[in-house]
Amino acid sequence: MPISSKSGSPLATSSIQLGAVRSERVWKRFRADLRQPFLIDRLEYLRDRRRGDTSNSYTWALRDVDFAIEPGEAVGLVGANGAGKSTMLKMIAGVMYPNAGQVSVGGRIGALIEVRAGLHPDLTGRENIFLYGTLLGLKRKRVAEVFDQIVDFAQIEAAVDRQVKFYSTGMQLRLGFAVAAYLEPDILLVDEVLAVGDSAFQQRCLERMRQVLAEGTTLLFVSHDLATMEATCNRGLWLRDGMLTMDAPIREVLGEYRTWVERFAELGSDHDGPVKLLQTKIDGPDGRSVHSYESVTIEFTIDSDESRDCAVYLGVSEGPATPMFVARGASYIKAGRNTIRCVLDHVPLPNGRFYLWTSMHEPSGGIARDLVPWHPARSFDVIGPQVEDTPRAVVRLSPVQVSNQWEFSSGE
Amino acid sequence: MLDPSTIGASPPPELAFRRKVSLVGSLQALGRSWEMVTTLTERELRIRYKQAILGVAWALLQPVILIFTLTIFFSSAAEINTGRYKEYVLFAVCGLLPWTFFSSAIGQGGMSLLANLQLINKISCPREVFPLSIVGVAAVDTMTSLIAVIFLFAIKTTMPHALVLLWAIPFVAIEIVFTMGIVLLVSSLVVHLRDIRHVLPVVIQMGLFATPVIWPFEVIGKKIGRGGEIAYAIANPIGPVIDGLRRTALLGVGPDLTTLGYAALSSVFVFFFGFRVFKRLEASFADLL
Repeated sequence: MPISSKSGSPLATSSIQLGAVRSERVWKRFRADLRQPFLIDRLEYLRDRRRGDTSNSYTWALRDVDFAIEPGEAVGLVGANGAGKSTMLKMIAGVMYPNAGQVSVGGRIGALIEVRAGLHPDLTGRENIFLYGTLLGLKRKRVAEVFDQIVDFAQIEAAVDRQVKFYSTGMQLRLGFAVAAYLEPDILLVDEVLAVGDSAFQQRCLERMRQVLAEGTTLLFVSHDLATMEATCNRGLWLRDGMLTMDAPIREVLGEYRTWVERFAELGSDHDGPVKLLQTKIDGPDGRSVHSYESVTIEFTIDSDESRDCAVYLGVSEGPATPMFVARGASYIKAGRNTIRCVLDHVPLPNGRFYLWTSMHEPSGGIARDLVPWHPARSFDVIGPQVEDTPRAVVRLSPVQVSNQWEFSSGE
Repeated sequence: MLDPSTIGASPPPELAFRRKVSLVGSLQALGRSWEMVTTLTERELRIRYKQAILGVAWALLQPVILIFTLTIFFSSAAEINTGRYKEYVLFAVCGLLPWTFFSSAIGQGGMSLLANLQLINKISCPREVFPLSIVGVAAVDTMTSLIAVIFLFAIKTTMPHALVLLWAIPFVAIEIVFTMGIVLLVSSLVVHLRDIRHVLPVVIQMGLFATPVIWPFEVIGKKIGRGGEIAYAIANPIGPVIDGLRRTALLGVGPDLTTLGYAALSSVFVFFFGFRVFKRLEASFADLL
């Protein structure tokens, strides 16, 4: 395949390697107001402009975003909703154009994005596959060659000659992805694929990503599923309010990003219930810092407005509210100040920063009343071995590191 | 960590993105995307006939009904001086065929970007494939109508003169090139100015009367002279096409080469103009749809 540029864009005619992506000082703005492109809106706009009132007409969705991706890299793009991730992908995909700067792309782009909306309900699955494949730039002959694989991937064998309007939502989603997945792109864009479809389909998507990566395709991955991103990508880009905040190895970017997300969670954890959590202490053995495979002592100091039964949950996570493991203890507490201590033995946590989440409940006749809601109490650092990398694109659910001994022997 | 605080409130003016579109490059890209146009045309036709009980039969029934209506109306009610042309129905059909092609291509093609906004927001392909595929649909419809027209000639026991076959290629070429130019222009402008959507049907209606469909082209010459005819040919290349079709098919005389030549030049100009405007506006489609 000849080295080509983004369709129709002459700026990219400056040579760019196959599989490379370059975003040079890219700015993109959107109209802030919801004016429609009708004549009357145009006239209003002109009136505003004559008065010199254009200050609020636009917001910048991307500001001075500058990065270069080498062929074969797998890059994860993180950021909160509205940070500009999808806009960036759209520009790389050649659907949108920047207002300033330039985006250049080497080779053909395949995009695993939500494309169900592009399927025509009155056409059959077969007709849609050919239509879609052709629009994505494949020759009909080529679509015919990969047709069986697409149908197989989407799991619609029995329904391929049925009109798409009679498909289930899941089938439509899978069909949309399947066509894009078999494009043989030089650059693969993946936008929240794993948020849709059942888990079996997610596994197949990941499997396909593994194959494509093994073939040396450049990958650009957008997801809120940080574990998958960590397993798949080797480099991370963090967009914050349309600006590139960090460009570093994926582990570092995700670490910073998680911390940032956490800060927001902690801001929202102020509560005023019958029980107040005054202090949380986390210590290794003999008050030292926490080490891998050693014991950890967690001590809560609480203040209760009356004597009651109290059940305490604690959990450890990398940041989000979904813990890797949970411990529970319950007892009768007195009104006033109480100290609750929990010792965790042989903690299998690797080196890194972790978050202790906790909640307290009053079990009363089957229904547990929340005394303290589930919230991150504090963070702590663990000293020990680095967590082992998984094989590429194999997702680890939580970074637990178990101490291990190996023995390789040959012969009998 | 990068420091975003150094980023200004708006980009420095020298960075402003200018999408330079080369005409040749765009035409080459369109040529490579030709399969997209045919596939989209096929999609439109499939969808249309899937939704109808009579299916493909409608493509033939529509022109038959139209011609039938015309025959009744003009053979009984209207009195129009068609000059050299004896059979009014055949005269009218020669005007209707090119006009219907043009008006249906513009009417549907003008809205084609709005109708495909989901695809436009997701897939990067030359956007002109959407309006151009509608021109393809109109072409298929016209071919079908042609069958009905041939039947009509048979009923009237008139043979169209063979001369029309010789001239068919330039007629069709002018017609298609002009229609493509206008459909590219209209469809891209509609995205920026949605009001056109409401104005367009009215303009097409007016166009039916402004084009020599139900009156002969010679009327223009009689009213405003030779210069007026040439000016009209430039403004509306469909006029000379219809006139040429009538002369060759019904009278067996050659077309008026002067007006036809101006029509050809004008249609090529309109095409390049429409294509250029479309390519200029193309960059902003995804923002506005």
